[in-house]
Amino acid sequence: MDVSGRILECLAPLAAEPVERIVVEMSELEFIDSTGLGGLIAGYLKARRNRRPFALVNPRRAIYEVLETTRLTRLFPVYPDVQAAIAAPDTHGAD
Amino acid sequence: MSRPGETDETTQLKELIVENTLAAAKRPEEVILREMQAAGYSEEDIFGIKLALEEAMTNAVRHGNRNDPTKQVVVRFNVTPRKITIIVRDEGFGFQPNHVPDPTLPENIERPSGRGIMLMRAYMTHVAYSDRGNEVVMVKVNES
Repeated sequence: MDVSGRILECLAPLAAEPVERIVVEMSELEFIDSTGLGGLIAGYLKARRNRRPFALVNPRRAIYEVLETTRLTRLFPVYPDVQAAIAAPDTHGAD
Repeated sequence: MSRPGETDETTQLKELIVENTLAAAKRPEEVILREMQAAGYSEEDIFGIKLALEEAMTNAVRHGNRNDPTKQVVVRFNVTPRKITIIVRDEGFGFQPNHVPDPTLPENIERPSGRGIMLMRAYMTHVAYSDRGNEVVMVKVNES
Protein backbone atom coordinates (compact mmCIF):
# COMPACT_ATOMS: atom_id res chain seq x y z
CA MET A 1 0.00 0.00 0.00
CA ASP A 2 1.49 3.36 -1.02
CA VAL A 3 -0.55 6.04 0.73
CA SER A 4 1.93 8.84 1.22
CA GLY A 5 -0.10 11.46 -0.58
CA ARG A 6 -3.34 10.47 1.10
CA ILE A 7 -2.24 10.46 4.73
CA LEU A 8 -3.14 14.08 5.42
CA GLU A 9 -6.38 13.69 3.49
CA CYS A 10 -7.38 10.99 6.00
CA LEU A 11 -5.98 12.64 9.12
CA ALA A 12 -7.10 16.24 8.63
CA PRO A 13 -10.85 15.72 9.13
CA LEU A 14 -10.23 13.17 11.89
CA ALA A 15 -8.11 15.63 13.84
CA ALA A 16 -11.11 17.93 14.19
CA GLU A 17 -13.54 15.19 15.27
CA PRO A 18 -14.55 14.89 18.94
CA VAL A 19 -12.45 11.79 19.52
CA GLU A 20 -10.37 11.08 22.60
CA ARG A 21 -7.12 10.41 20.75
CA ILE A 22 -5.78 9.60 17.28
CA VAL A 23 -3.90 6.36 16.81
CA VAL A 24 -2.43 5.60 13.39
CA GLU A 25 -2.05 1.85 12.93
CA MET A 26 0.82 1.50 10.42
CA SER A 27 1.43 -2.22 10.07
CA GLU A 28 0.04 -2.34 6.50
CA LEU A 29 2.06 0.66 5.34
CA GLU A 30 4.85 -0.59 3.06
CA PHE A 31 6.34 2.72 1.97
CA ILE A 32 6.55 6.35 3.04
CA ASP A 33 8.37 9.34 1.59
CA SER A 34 8.81 12.96 2.68
CA THR A 35 5.33 13.80 1.38
CA GLY A 36 3.85 11.12 3.62
CA LEU A 37 5.93 12.31 6.56
CA GLY A 38 4.63 15.81 5.90
CA GLY A 39 1.09 14.42 6.01
CA LEU A 40 1.75 12.79 9.38
CA ILE A 41 3.24 16.01 10.75
CA ALA A 42 0.34 18.12 9.49
CA GLY A 43 -2.11 15.62 11.02
CA TYR A 44 -0.20 15.68 14.29
CA LEU A 45 -0.21 19.48 14.39
CA LYS A 46 -3.94 19.63 13.70
CA ALA A 47 -4.56 17.05 16.43
CA ARG A 48 -2.41 19.02 18.87
CA ARG A 49 -4.28 22.24 18.09
CA ASN A 50 -7.47 20.35 18.98
CA ARG A 51 -5.78 18.87 22.06
CA ARG A 52 -6.02 15.32 20.80
CA PRO A 53 -3.15 12.93 21.64
CA PHE A 54 -1.59 11.52 18.48
CA ALA A 55 0.36 8.27 18.25
CA LEU A 56 1.76 5.85 15.70
CA VAL A 57 1.44 2.10 16.15
CA ASN A 58 3.43 -0.84 14.87
CA PRO A 59 5.26 0.55 11.84
CA ARG A 60 7.30 -1.93 9.80
CA ARG A 61 11.05 -1.81 10.38
CA ALA A 62 11.74 0.12 7.14
CA ILE A 63 9.11 2.72 8.00
CA TYR A 64 10.41 3.06 11.56
CA GLU A 65 13.91 3.60 10.17
CA VAL A 66 12.62 6.50 8.06
CA LEU A 67 11.01 7.99 11.18
CA GLU A 68 14.26 7.55 13.11
CA THR A 69 16.44 8.92 10.30
CA THR A 70 14.35 12.07 10.17
CA ARG A 71 14.28 12.27 14.02
CA LEU A 72 10.48 12.20 13.90
CA THR A 73 10.46 9.57 16.64
CA ARG A 74 11.14 12.60 18.86
CA LEU A 75 7.90 14.17 17.70
CA PHE A 76 5.59 11.16 17.45
CA PRO A 77 5.16 8.60 20.19
CA VAL A 78 5.42 5.15 18.61
CA TYR A 79 3.84 2.12 20.31
CA PRO A 80 4.01 -1.59 19.55
CA ASP A 81 0.22 -2.03 19.53
CA VAL A 82 -3.05 -0.13 19.77
CA GLN A 83 -3.65 -1.18 23.39
CA ALA A 84 -0.35 0.34 24.46
CA ALA A 85 -1.14 3.57 22.60
CA ILE A 86 -4.57 3.81 24.21
CA ALA A 87 -3.18 3.08 27.67
CA ALA A 88 -0.42 5.69 27.33
CA PRO A 89 -0.72 8.87 29.39
CA ASP A 90 -1.87 11.98 27.55
CA THR A 91 1.43 13.78 27.21
CA HIS A 92 1.30 14.78 23.56
CA GLY A 93 -2.09 16.38 23.23
CA ALA A 94 -1.28 19.76 24.72
CA ASP A 95 0.85 22.58 23.34
CA MET B 1 36.10 18.76 -16.54
CA SER B 2 34.07 15.93 -15.07
CA ARG B 3 30.76 16.52 -13.34
CA PRO B 4 30.00 15.41 -9.76
CA GLY B 5 29.93 11.65 -9.50
CA GLU B 6 30.78 11.13 -13.16
CA THR B 7 32.77 7.97 -13.80
CA ASP B 8 33.62 5.77 -16.71
CA GLU B 9 30.24 4.10 -16.14
CA THR B 10 28.45 7.22 -17.37
CA THR B 11 29.12 5.95 -20.88
CA GLN B 12 26.91 2.94 -20.06
CA LEU B 13 24.00 4.93 -18.71
CA LYS B 14 20.53 4.30 -20.02
CA GLU B 15 18.36 7.35 -20.51
CA LEU B 16 14.67 7.94 -19.90
CA ILE B 17 12.99 11.25 -20.65
CA VAL B 18 9.65 11.73 -18.92
CA GLU B 19 7.05 14.45 -19.01
CA ASN B 20 6.86 16.71 -16.00
CA THR B 21 4.14 15.03 -13.97
CA LEU B 22 4.36 12.97 -10.78
CA ALA B 23 2.53 10.14 -12.56
CA ALA B 24 5.08 10.03 -15.39
CA ALA B 25 7.87 10.32 -12.85
CA LYS B 26 6.98 6.80 -11.64
CA ARG B 27 8.15 5.21 -14.88
CA PRO B 28 11.92 5.41 -14.24
CA GLU B 29 11.30 4.01 -10.76
CA GLU B 30 9.51 0.97 -12.18
CA VAL B 31 12.33 0.30 -14.64
CA ILE B 32 15.14 0.79 -12.12
CA LEU B 33 13.51 -1.30 -9.38
CA ARG B 34 12.90 -4.10 -11.87
CA GLU B 35 16.58 -4.07 -12.81
CA MET B 36 17.54 -4.07 -9.12
CA GLN B 37 15.42 -7.15 -8.49
CA ALA B 38 17.01 -8.89 -11.46
CA ALA B 39 20.47 -7.95 -10.14
CA GLY B 40 19.70 -9.54 -6.76
CA TYR B 41 19.43 -6.47 -4.53
CA SER B 42 17.79 -6.89 -1.13
CA GLU B 43 14.32 -5.58 -0.28
CA GLU B 44 16.02 -3.10 2.05
CA ASP B 45 18.15 -1.68 -0.77
CA ILE B 46 15.14 -1.54 -3.09
CA PHE B 47 13.20 0.42 -0.44
CA GLY B 48 16.08 2.90 -0.13
CA ILE B 49 16.44 3.44 -3.88
CA LYS B 50 12.68 3.84 -4.28
CA LEU B 51 12.69 6.45 -1.53
CA ALA B 52 15.71 8.40 -2.83
CA LEU B 53 14.47 8.32 -6.42
CA GLU B 54 10.94 9.42 -5.48
CA GLU B 55 12.42 12.35 -3.56
CA ALA B 56 14.65 13.32 -6.49
CA MET B 57 11.79 13.04 -9.01
CA THR B 58 9.39 14.99 -6.80
CA ASN B 59 11.98 17.74 -6.38
CA ALA B 60 12.58 17.83 -10.15
CA VAL B 61 8.87 17.98 -11.06
CA ARG B 62 7.64 20.30 -8.32
CA HIS B 63 10.58 22.51 -7.41
CA GLY B 64 12.88 22.33 -10.44
CA ASN B 65 10.33 22.41 -13.24
CA ARG B 66 7.67 24.06 -11.04
CA ASN B 67 4.96 21.68 -12.27
CA ASP B 68 5.31 23.11 -15.79
CA PRO B 69 3.79 20.47 -18.13
CA THR B 70 5.86 21.71 -21.08
CA LYS B 71 9.08 20.70 -19.33
CA GLN B 72 10.73 17.32 -18.98
CA VAL B 73 12.83 15.35 -16.52
CA VAL B 74 15.81 13.38 -17.80
CA VAL B 75 16.84 10.28 -15.87
CA ARG B 76 20.06 8.43 -16.67
CA PHE B 77 20.90 5.29 -14.79
CA ASN B 78 23.03 2.20 -14.59
CA VAL B 79 22.29 -0.84 -12.43
CA THR B 80 24.96 -3.46 -11.84
CA PRO B 81 25.21 -6.02 -9.02
CA ARG B 82 28.00 -3.86 -7.56
CA LYS B 83 26.38 -0.42 -7.63
CA ILE B 84 23.60 1.77 -8.91
CA THR B 85 24.09 5.18 -10.46
CA ILE B 86 21.12 7.48 -11.05
CA ILE B 87 21.27 11.01 -12.46
CA VAL B 88 18.13 13.17 -12.44
CA ARG B 89 18.10 16.48 -14.32
CA ASP B 90 15.31 19.04 -14.60
CA GLU B 91 15.01 22.19 -16.68
CA GLY B 92 14.75 24.56 -13.73
CA PHE B 93 17.03 27.31 -12.53
CA GLY B 94 18.51 25.06 -9.88
CA PHE B 95 19.08 25.72 -6.20
CA GLN B 96 21.74 25.59 -3.52
CA PRO B 97 21.22 22.37 -1.53
CA ASN B 98 23.40 23.68 1.29
CA HIS B 99 20.86 26.45 1.87
CA VAL B 100 18.10 23.95 2.73
CA PRO B 101 17.55 24.04 6.52
CA ASP B 102 18.39 20.92 8.52
CA PRO B 103 14.96 19.32 9.13
CA THR B 104 16.20 17.45 12.20
CA LEU B 105 16.91 20.59 14.22
CA PRO B 106 14.37 21.24 17.00
CA GLU B 107 13.25 24.50 15.36
CA ASN B 108 12.48 22.66 12.09
CA ILE B 109 11.19 19.31 13.33
CA GLU B 110 7.53 20.33 13.01
CA ARG B 111 7.88 21.67 9.46
CA PRO B 112 5.88 19.40 7.14
CA SER B 113 8.36 19.76 4.25
CA GLY B 114 12.11 19.87 3.64
CA ARG B 115 13.14 16.25 4.30
CA GLY B 116 13.65 15.01 0.73
CA ILE B 117 17.34 15.84 0.33
CA MET B 118 18.13 14.53 3.77
CA LEU B 119 16.47 11.20 2.96
CA MET B 120 18.34 10.95 -0.35
CA ARG B 121 21.61 11.45 1.49
CA ALA B 122 20.66 8.96 4.20
CA TYR B 123 19.73 6.14 1.83
CA MET B 124 22.36 6.60 -0.90
CA THR B 125 26.12 6.09 -0.62
CA HIS B 126 26.87 9.31 -2.50
CA VAL B 127 24.75 12.32 -3.50
CA ALA B 128 26.09 15.33 -5.39
CA TYR B 129 24.49 18.28 -7.17
CA SER B 130 25.73 20.09 -10.23
CA ASP B 131 26.97 23.64 -9.72
CA ARG B 132 23.70 24.98 -11.09
CA GLY B 133 21.71 22.67 -8.84
CA ASN B 134 19.35 21.27 -11.47
CA GLU B 135 21.05 17.86 -11.68
CA VAL B 136 21.63 15.36 -8.91
CA VAL B 137 23.91 12.33 -9.10
CA MET B 138 23.07 9.52 -6.70
CA VAL B 139 25.17 6.40 -6.20
CA LYS B 140 24.35 3.35 -4.11
CA VAL B 141 27.07 0.77 -3.54
CA ASN B 142 25.84 -2.75 -2.89
CA GLU B 143 27.32 -3.70 0.46
CA SER B 144 25.40 -6.94 1.01
